[in-house]
Amino acid sequence: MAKVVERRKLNFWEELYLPAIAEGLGRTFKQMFKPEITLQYPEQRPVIEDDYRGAPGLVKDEEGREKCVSCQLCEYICPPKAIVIVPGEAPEDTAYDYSNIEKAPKEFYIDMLRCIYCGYCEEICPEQAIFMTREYELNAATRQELVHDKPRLYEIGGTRPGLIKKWKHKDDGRGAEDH
Amino acid sequence: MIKLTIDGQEVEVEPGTTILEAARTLGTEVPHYCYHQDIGIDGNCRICLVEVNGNTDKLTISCKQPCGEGMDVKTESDAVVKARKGVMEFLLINHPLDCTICDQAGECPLQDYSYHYGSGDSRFVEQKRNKRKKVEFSDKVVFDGERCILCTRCTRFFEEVRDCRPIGVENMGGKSTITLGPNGPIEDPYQLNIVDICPVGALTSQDFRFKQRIWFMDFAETVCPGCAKGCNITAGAYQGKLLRFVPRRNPDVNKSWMCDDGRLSYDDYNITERTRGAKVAGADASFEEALAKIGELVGDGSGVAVLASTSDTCEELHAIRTWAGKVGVTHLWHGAETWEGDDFLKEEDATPNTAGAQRLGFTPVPTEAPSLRGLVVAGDCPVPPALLADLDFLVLQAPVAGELGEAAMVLLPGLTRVEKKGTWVNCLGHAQKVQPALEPGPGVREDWELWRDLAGEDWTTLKAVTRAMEAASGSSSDTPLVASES
Amino acid sequence: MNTDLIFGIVANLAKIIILTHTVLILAMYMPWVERKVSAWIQDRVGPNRVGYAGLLQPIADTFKFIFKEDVVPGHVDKVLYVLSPCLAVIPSLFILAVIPFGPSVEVMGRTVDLVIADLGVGILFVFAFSSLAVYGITFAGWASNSKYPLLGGVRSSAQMISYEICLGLSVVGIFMGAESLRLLDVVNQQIDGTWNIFTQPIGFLVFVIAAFAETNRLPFDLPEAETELVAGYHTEYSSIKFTMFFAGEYAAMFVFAALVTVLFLGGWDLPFMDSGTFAAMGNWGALLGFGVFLFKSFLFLLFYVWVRFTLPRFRFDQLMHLGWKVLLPLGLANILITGLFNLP
Repeated sequence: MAKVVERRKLNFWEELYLPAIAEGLGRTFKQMFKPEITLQYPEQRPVIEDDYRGAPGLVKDEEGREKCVSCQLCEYICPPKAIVIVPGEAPEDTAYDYSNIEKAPKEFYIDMLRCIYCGYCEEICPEQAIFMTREYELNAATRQELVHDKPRLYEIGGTRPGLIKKWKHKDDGRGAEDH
Repeated sequence: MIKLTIDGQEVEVEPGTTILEAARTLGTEVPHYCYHQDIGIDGNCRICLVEVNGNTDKLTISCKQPCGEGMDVKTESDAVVKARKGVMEFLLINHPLDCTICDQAGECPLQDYSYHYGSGDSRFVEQKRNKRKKVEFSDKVVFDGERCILCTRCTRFFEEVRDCRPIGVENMGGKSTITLGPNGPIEDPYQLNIVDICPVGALTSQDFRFKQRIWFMDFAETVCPGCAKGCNITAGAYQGKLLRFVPRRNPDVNKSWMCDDGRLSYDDYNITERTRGAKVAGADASFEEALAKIGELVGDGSGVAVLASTSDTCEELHAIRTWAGKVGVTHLWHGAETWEGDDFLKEEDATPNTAGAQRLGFTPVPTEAPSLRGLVVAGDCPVPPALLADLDFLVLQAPVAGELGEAAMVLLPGLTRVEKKGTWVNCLGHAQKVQPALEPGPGVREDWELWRDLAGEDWTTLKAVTRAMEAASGSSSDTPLVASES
Repeated sequence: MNTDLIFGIVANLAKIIILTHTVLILAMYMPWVERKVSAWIQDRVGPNRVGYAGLLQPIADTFKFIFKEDVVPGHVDKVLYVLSPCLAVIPSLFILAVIPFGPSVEVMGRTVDLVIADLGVGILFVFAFSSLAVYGITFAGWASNSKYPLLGGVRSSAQMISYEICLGLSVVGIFMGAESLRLLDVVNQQIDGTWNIFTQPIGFLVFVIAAFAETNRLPFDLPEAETELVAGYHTEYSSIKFTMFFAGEYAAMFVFAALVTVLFLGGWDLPFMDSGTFAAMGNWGALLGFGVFLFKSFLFLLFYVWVRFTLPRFRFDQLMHLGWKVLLPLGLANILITGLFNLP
């Protein structure tokens, strides 16, 4: 049953519309003298909150070791399938001698043309290795440039000390006789 | 026969059957780590505890306890659930829980049982024990001592199935761990099976190590294309690339095993360059043109032979045979490929369907081959050079043409062994279903469709070919050509 | 050679050059004005990147338009497709010929009226050519051979034909008063008497509304209604051809602004001056008059923009209702009333 909306009968002046038009013109005229609220973007910057979700980036710890262990949970959870990881063996350098972790990403790609900035990758990461940064200025001349690779992701992510330390637990000397 | 009750259900089993196997016949899966169907019973992991005849003080390990007449078994009673929870907690005390980087994750009974039977929580606050990690048992197998739960499936596999002892348990109590024997790295050609039977991620394959998480992969239940044994396998692929073969249990053929050579042969089928689209005399042509050209070349079939690959499925071979019969080609030969066999599973015949080809009337190439006008090569197989002499024309249908492709008058694309769908008959006479593990991509038609079009038959589905083949060759239970539906 | 003839030709060429360039430059800068005014109304800044306050924006836009790829869809009627952008601009420029834009000047002892062609039937010429403008749009819609342009073209033909009648009727009163169809006479009559906006308020209202409709400006921009018809009749046009439509629209706006100035706002008249004052000031008076004329036209152009960002678009049936059932009777009534007042 269609709903019938009763409309008020307009009186003569309202029917003319001219007063309404004049009122509208007056309103827009007044509006011309109000200050503009535009943000002059390249010169002025918006306030970025701490919980802003910008481009995801990979982080290293304070000693410059990569935290990612290439578990691919972010790749799994990523709704638009923007993340592609090529897992590999962690490099056998001195930084990893006391590591529990044998796995590290060989390649890590995030397609920023696909990313929807949902932050699931940060949320699911068991190693706290991926974070939504406050980086919001993404531009490139080619599509390929917007597929962030490992160096770019570490550049965006930077360093985050503390948090999970996958290297720590062998340092207390126990169980050494097994080696 | 022995009658007993499991979870209120009556079941009748052969004498000597264990409770675990009896429960399995009812569809009840009792959790187990150390027990494996195809190796001897050990009974060390204690996760398979069940309550027998209401005795809650002393639970019984179902993997080793044979069924007794009138037993009343409970697999989910309070006592059992509590005991399992306890066992799970003990197993996980020293397990590193590094599932995030463990290749076993996703197909790990420790994960599954922890999820189903564990408490989901740990009361253990002490330091976990550190053991050796990343120990290379050979260039195929890596061992991680921390993940190991010491079920000894691996050592028992070598002792009981392979009759050798390359690895064993060293030390006692909390320090016990699997270790290499004094003779150095494992050399057994079936050693990768211990990776499959390891219920945790302690033993992992060097080849598959860190390649891909299994939940990203696509799996096909198929048959190993490596040799005539036809071991049942699950082929795992990721984005159109095969990453591994893993044996699938078939008690009649391969039990739970397969040879390392067959297992690692998967990479041979990741071909990058292949024949796409048809070619006539080196120039691109439509399939219709190519097939018409074949008809024209073969003519009445005199002096023409068909050399079919023994990796072709029975359905493909039947289509080829039908066509040959129609145009009057009488020489139906099959190719042959060999590699080194052994006395366990690996056969010398390195093609999966020789038995099927022979059942369909294909014969080996005679030593004294008659002089030929033309040769039709169907499928991927080596062509004896003697056959190629004095040929008027060569028709080649193969996934990769190679050098022969340049000599071929008509070149047709084909499927590799892992892309085929149909039936292979192994050397034991079992007809087994083959499922495609990869997609061939554009410009490639199913082999059986090509030969069907050539033969002018109206089979629209593979099933129609199967039925036609059955009708034409009288497939019997003794010499089956069609895999049973089970 | 007859010096009068040469002088006449040179003088006319000078007038043509001055007026057309004034109009074209205005047409070029009107988008900038429009963007600025709309920005102010909407609390924005508007163009401010190219040049001071974005003043070079129109030049940048022009270069952009010229160098853009000129896409000609494969399905168009080639001849009409190329012809219609020209048809959209030319009629407006023709109308300029009969619009007087200032008092007469004295050059080399000769008096020159600041009107390119002082036709006795000036207003008829205006209507004749403003009617032609509809062809540009209708042809564009037809030649594009696709649905949105066609709908835009059909709408414009119906709209422009309907409102042309109102436009014609609304000014009849003025010429009854001036007793001439020459636009110069109309202006002179206003300079010495009262502006027609006061004597012909109804005519003014009808003319302004019809002028909005004739130039396809909001609230009557149905032929190009973006929200309904993509871009209406010029959907399939790009690059310089699109620019022609763009320029045509703004040229037409200026022409109608000039017409309103001439017909209703007293031309170059200022409230405290009469024809004698202008004549006394000589050529400076003519310059002042031209300035006043441009100023008034510009004010009306601003009014165009102001209205555009105030009123929403009409529905097509409302448009037809307004044209035929309101403005047409009003125009007729206006003639009747004017006739009654002007009884000898």
